[in-house]
Amino acid sequence: MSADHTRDPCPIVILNDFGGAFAMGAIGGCVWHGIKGFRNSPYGERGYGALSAIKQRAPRVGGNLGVWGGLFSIFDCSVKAIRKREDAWNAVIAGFFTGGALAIRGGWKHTRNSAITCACLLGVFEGVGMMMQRLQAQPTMAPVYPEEPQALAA
Amino acid sequence: MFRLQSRNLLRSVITRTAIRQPIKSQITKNFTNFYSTTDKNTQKKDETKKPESVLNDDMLARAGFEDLDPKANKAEEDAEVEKEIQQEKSARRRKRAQTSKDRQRERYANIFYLATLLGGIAGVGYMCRDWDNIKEQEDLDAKDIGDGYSPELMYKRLSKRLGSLFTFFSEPAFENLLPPPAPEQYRRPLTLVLTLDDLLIHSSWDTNHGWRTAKRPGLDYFLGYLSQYYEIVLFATNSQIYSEKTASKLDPYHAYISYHLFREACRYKDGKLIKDLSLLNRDLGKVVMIDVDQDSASLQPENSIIVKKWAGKPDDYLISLIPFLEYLATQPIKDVRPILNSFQNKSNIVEEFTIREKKLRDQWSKDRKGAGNAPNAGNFIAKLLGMPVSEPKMPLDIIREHGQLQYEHFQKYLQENASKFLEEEQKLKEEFGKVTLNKLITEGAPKPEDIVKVQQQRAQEEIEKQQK
Repeated sequence: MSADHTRDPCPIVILNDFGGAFAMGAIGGCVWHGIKGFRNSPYGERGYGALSAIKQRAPRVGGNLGVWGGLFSIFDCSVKAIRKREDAWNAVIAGFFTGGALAIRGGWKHTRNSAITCACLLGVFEGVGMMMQRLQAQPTMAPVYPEEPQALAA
Repeated sequence: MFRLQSRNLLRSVITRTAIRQPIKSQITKNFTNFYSTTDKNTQKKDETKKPESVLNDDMLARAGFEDLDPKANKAEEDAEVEKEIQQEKSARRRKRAQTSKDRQRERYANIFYLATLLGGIAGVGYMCRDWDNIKEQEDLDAKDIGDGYSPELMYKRLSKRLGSLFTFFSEPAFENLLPPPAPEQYRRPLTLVLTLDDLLIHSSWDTNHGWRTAKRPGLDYFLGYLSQYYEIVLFATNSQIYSEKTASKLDPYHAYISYHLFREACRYKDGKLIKDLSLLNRDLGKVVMIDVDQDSASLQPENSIIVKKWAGKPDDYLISLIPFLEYLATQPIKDVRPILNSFQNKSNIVEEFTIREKKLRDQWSKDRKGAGNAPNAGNFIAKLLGMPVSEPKMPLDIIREHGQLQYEHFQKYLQENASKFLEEEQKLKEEFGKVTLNKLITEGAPKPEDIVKVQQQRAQEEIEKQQK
């Protein structure tokens, strides 16, 4: 069974990931387009400009990111099911396919480049994550032994 | 954008309405000056006189559409002209598709690809180089690969060096997974390495409850009883962040399990997660590993007992393992491996040991009978005095009784002091748990060495207090 108990097992996690990514994109889009709309509006209309920019554009950013997350999760689950292994390569392979799938309408060249870029990016993420995990791992220390053994410690 | 669209729309309207009717007259009247571009004005006049369209050039000009393409008006006159225009248009589109910016970008991309390629070739070439020194050669375990620039040697050095780049992630995080063995008076005879998932606990997921983790029946007794014979090491297959809390919950007082190891301590090779017991810092003759995965024991299969995965159904397997493990720990043996491997099927070790035990008991009682015939003065006198003669016990039973007594004793001690243990832990947590961001950046996370030092100090103080 999967190691991480904060996440659901495979087919269901796709839905979670899609929703999570959408929320992330929507919130990030709110911040981004709110500021942008605010700055690009004339004085007196700035609040309204920010709001309308958010209303128009934040859902779209959320949708884009959601599609990315959902697609990535689908590929991740498929790769896991096929390889029957759980390591960093799963994410790299899934990233490769996700990047490719999203760019496929731009032609073969675009697809290839975007797939490779995405795979490299995820490889870097995974590498950094693993490095952090290793650096955080602490050696086991010996417990403290009193000089006189306690009667019951045997 | 909008303007361009509307212009195209207008143009189509014009071509449809304005051109159709005047063509015939134009052909007859102005056929000669049609191709002459100099005579634009007259031509325009001719056009403006006749069309029914309200949108003449004047109005368009007033509306802001000045540069209407005259060619569009004349396009239908001649098929060849049209073709030419179309060709021109497509050529223009092609040109427009690739702006100077695009060309620049493409050039940069090409430069980047070339640089990557050259860099890759250079890197591969560099990795083919001779060994820097003997140490590198030894570290990479490549004593049979010498220096020199034959293709074979170069390739071998390359593959060794390339492999070493990835071993950073696949090797265990530490050289010695455990600290040296405990001092003599605290030492248990053997070390027992247990995996966590599907041996001691089982996690399952369903839509109603999400993740749930179950303890295997008899787990507390198993750990508590065997901790008097074994130094128990929990070696989980999952990462520390996922398994640490579960592991500490199994043994809240840190009384049974001596050490916790996690996935970080595993070796990852060819898709297999291997628990390398040789890194445990213990004599391999005194280590028994119980695991559920063949792969994790692939380096020391002779030390390991591979059992079936527990699927979460009630069973008493852990309890049934105890007699064998107890027997193993209480016999004066130098090396457990020959004994472990004397079982034909180690996954069936419980049944096989039960048969052996039965044989042993039969043998013993037979011997007893033989010995019982010999005159025994004490028994004889007791019989004469009418006292009940106790049947002597089988050594295995004596061990068992003794173990049980000690286990109960220890449980009592634990229960009496449970609150004290928890309090002490809480104190430590409070002291080291409060990690501010500032402290984390300036001093780093609290090191286990520091924690142990403080613990040592505390223990010293405690002893001094008691002596007073």
